[in-house]
Amino acid sequence: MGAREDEYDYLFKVVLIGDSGVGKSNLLSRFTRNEFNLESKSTIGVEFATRSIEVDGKTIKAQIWDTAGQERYRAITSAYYRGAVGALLVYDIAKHLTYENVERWLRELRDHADQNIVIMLVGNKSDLRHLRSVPTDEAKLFAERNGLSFIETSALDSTNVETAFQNILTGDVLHPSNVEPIDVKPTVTADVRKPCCH
Amino acid sequence: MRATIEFEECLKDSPRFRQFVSKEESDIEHLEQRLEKIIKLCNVAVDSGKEYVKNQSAFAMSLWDLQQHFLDNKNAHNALGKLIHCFQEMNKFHTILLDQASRTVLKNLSVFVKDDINQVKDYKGHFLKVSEGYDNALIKNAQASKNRPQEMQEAANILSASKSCFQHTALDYVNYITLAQARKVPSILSTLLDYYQACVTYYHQGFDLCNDFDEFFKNISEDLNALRGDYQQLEKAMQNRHMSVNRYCDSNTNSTSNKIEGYLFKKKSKGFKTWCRRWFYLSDNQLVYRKRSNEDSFSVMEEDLRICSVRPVNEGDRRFCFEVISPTKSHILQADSADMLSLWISALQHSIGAAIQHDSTHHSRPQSTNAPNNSLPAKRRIHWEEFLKIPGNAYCCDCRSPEPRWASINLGITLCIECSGVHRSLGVHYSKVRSLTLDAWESENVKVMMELGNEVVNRIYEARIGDDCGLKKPTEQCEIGVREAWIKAKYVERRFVCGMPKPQELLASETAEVLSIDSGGVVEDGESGGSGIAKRATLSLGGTRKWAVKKLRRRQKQRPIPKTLSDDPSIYNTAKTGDELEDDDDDESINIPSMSLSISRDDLLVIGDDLALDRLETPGILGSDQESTDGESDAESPEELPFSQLDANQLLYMASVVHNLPVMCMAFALGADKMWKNPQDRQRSFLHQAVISGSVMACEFLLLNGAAIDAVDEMGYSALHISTAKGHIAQVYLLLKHKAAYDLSSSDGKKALDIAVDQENADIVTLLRLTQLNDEIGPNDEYNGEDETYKNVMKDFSKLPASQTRVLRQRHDSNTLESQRSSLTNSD
Repeated sequence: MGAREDEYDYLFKVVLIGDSGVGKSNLLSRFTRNEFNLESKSTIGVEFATRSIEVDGKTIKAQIWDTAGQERYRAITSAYYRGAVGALLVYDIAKHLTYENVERWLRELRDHADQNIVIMLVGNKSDLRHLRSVPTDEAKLFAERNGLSFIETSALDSTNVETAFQNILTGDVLHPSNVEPIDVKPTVTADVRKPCCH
Repeated sequence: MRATIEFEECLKDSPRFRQFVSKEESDIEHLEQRLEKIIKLCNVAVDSGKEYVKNQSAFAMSLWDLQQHFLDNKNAHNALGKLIHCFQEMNKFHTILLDQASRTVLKNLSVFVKDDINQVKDYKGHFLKVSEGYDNALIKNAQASKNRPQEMQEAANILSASKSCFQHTALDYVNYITLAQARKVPSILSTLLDYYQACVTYYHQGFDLCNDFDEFFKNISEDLNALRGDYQQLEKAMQNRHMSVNRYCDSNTNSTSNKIEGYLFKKKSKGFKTWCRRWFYLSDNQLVYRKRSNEDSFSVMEEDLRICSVRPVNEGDRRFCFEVISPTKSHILQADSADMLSLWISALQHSIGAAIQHDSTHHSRPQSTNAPNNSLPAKRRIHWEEFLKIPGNAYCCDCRSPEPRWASINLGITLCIECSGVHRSLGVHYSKVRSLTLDAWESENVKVMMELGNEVVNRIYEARIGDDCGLKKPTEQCEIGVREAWIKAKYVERRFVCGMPKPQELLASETAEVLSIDSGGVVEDGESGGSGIAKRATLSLGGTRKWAVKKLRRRQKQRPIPKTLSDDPSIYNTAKTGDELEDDDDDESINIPSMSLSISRDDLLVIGDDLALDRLETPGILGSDQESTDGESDAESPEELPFSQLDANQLLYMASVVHNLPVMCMAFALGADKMWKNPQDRQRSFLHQAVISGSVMACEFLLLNGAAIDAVDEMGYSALHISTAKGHIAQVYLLLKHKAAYDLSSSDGKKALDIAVDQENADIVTLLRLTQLNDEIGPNDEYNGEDETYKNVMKDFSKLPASQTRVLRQRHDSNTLESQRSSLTNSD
């Protein structure tokens, strides 16, 4: 297993950003280790985890940078945005303030990240339906206006976590122009999409 | 009109009449069938016509879409518009025609069939019935018996009535038939005539329409002819297109100018080593590249060509490769052909040469749009001439040639090129040589240089010249052998090094000798006045019992200096962040009374005061080390030790605590053991002490001189553990840069990262984790052991003024932190 881990065709770096307590670290642990910790501590500085996924026969190694949301735990450098092909900008659907701060995080990305970074707006904690304070449509509209993709997830019950990362990673395959374009279809629908006319 | 049949025949009900009737009936039947067929076909024609019109109008609509394509070509747009208008008009006419067809042909003929023909048919039934009744009456009449007159009478009555009825009916029937036959021709013909006229109108409308636009379309076709002519000319011109390929090749390979640009394959230095094709060009002494796609951004590959070199690469699979090497990185590039390869190499070399010749042009460099923070280079751009202003540095440390251009960074001296060659040959454990002009200088190395200098170092390494000097002193023009012998004796054998400082009463004569050299050129600092050993030697009557090393802060930024240097603002821009933070510190050290207090004691030998130079004669480029030692109190008296404990190791140990570089340098010259640990102080090494002092410069000096970076004390703490625990970000950065082991566990099982997490020091956590991550992906890259991001992050930390220790930061709330951060990233 260990040897296989090291073999990959592409290494993509993805950053997780957003306010403190929106669930970035749990999204990461859900995706990379399938774990969830209700009592997780604040991230200090930055943490990393990797996971490889298969897309169209190619192995993509995702190197995910989980950054601290809390200001006093953020390091002096902003260089960790550089070189990231994707960013998951996370807010808490039950805390409106975290959604309001999305613009601030966008600015941070625009200032420090590469121009062609793919940004996905992620409304996390979708399991807290009864506490929802950010309507899905509103966030979706905001995402459309700002050219972001959008998804709602729950790290607690795993809803959409896989999809969110999968999308940002497969979206990336086509995006950076320095990689020879390979045709990426969602693996699930590959059979359905076979051409029918000859 | 044809006479059909005599009414008489009808009344007679003659066979001729019957014959007539049946003939007419079949005639009408025949007509009806034909007419029904016509109606049916006409219906089909109208329907398909409607379908046609519908498609036609869709076609016109699609033409409107096409017209949008020509928005920028007014003529074409106009002409297309008119054409489409015509098509649509014609279509409208067609619709009218179809309408007419259905209204005339269909309606009229159906009416004829329904009214006239069906009337005849209906009446036929009636006629047959009456005829039958008449026949029956005839039969009954014939059967009537002669014997029954009443019966006869009755039959005769019935007969006469039915006869009369039959005759009337027959006449009516003949009437209907005749009328129908008479009307068929006019009604059919008039219907068709109407249709014909509708057609005529249709064509007429079309004709009128065409007439209206005649002029316009004539113009268009003239324009078209002109366009066709243009096209032919263009085509002819394009036939020569292949010529340009040859011409381009020629110009490419023949060009001798150093203006070069073009595509090269670039080997990625990140985790996976793909090759990608980029457009490279030289701009303002930088090697810059961009993608083929139309994004208007570019990246800087080499910020300064002056420190680069180029060489062809023959290893590896690919042909036509060359390497661009700078002190920190290397890039492999591939040209398209051997010619292009040599062209690129010669152009780059030419540009490097040109850049070195005109190296005073620092301005107007393009900033990489990809990475806006690249604008602040990691290495402080310090003007190399500043180094020469440090006392003694204007002449080579060994042969005294003027204008030295090289330096030994671990000794803190400047050298001429010949001596630097000899220094190189000693090996890096004796001397690490750098170019003043070509190399990029790390700020910590600059600090070390600032703190030492030829004057200070020669007081140590040439203290006893003449003692046993069987050697010839090298001069500017001397032979290489003289230099080699001298430099070897000076730094390797350390033949002229001053003696260990000793209590004056024991070695008064020797010290006096040493000092006679010192006092030659140097004026003692007013504040530390009276501290010279010479004075001490004469004053000391009670005898010195203890020794100490005090803090030394010599190369401080002086406020008047910027004026004299204001002609080159670039230096000040880069140095400013540090300067401002040092200001308080300057005042502090000036006003400390305790300094002189400790000095006034006669029983204490303060080692290193003789090495202290007048602060006024020092250049003010950079504060040397104050920034990293803010938290300290200068008022503290230095630790005093008895003379029984004075040796080179103890001296270095004590000097490290107070980051006194000249004394540290002296201790090394006196033979301090790099691996030594203090048995009396928890087995700590010099580096531990320097880390505790908070001084980046002292750490760097020790590391440059080969101190063991991963030495641990009795608790198992390495220097990295301690700097982490103390929150000294700049030192952690420095240690990691020197590849300190970050995964050592102390005896209580803690790694540096654990300590940083416990202390919630985000910067140190980030540094440690990133370094570890970088090591994990590192092996994938055969050329650059470092990830781009890692380099960028390290760059950010190198920019961080060392004063931002955790102690300082923790006092500030998060707002201030934020502003510090933004000022750091934005300041340029």
